[in-house]
Amino acid sequence: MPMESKEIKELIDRYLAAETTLSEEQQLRTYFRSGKVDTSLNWAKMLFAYSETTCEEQLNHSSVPSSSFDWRRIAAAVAIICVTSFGVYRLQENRQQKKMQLAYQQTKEAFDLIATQMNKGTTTVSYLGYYEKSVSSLINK
Amino acid sequence: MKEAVYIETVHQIEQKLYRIAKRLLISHEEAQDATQEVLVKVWQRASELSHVKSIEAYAMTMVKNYCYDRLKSKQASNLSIEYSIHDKSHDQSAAFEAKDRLFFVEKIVNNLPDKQKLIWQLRDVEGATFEEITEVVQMEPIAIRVNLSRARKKIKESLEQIDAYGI
Repeated sequence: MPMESKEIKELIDRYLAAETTLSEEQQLRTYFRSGKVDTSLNWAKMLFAYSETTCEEQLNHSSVPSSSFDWRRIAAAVAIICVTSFGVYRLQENRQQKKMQLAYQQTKEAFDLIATQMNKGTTTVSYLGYYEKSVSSLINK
Repeated sequence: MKEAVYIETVHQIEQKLYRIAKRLLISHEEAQDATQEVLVKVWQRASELSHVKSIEAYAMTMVKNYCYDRLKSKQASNLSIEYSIHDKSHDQSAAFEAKDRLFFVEKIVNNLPDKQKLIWQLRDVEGATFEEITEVVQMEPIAIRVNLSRARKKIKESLEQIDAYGI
């Protein structure tokens, strides 16, 4: 064990000088993963533990669409479209009915107006009868 | 190349790019943007790049350049301020959890100068060879070793301090 730790310390020194190879660094990593280390090497344990966990850090695509259709969403969309289109249709129908009623009312009023004016007209025109009577009586004399 | 193999390769490169970008830009959103941007550019030139190794090195160089540009721009400096505020709140809660020590390592690493940070990330996290690092950072191998050594020593010192005085 003391031999091994001496070896490790030597490796660490070379690691700090950036002289270790990748395989030697891997050796250090496995050594520090294995468990107890000398307290003077606590920093190295933390460092290797960190570099190993951060290596697994992943970019998660939060916005990746799921592979299969989401039927509930589609059903909801269809339902919304149906309800709105039905609503719009009803609204339009309602509006048309109102328009028709208004038109009917207006026509009726117009006819009423014509009727009253017509009555006025006929009473006025009836005076012409007197005129004709008197004229014809004069001619016949 | 079989399709599955190809997808797997792209996925691996993507993760690598993301980790490098996150190390340099700190913010997750910024790193995500950087990764996407670089992948699109790599995709456009994929036919010119013959083998996977060169694609990877090329992509890493691109992401490095992209991140350096972002760091230079004013926008990025605003973001880093924002992040440091957020950092403090994390700090307080972490202070009560001795087991959350890896967080301190992250903080120490993130406080390294950009060049050292990048080289440390490439070597100790991504396990890149010195040739690969040379290609990405465009520096002499000796300069790379000096920077890497400084980064490792700095991390060691900071961690020893934490060990000795608590937080």
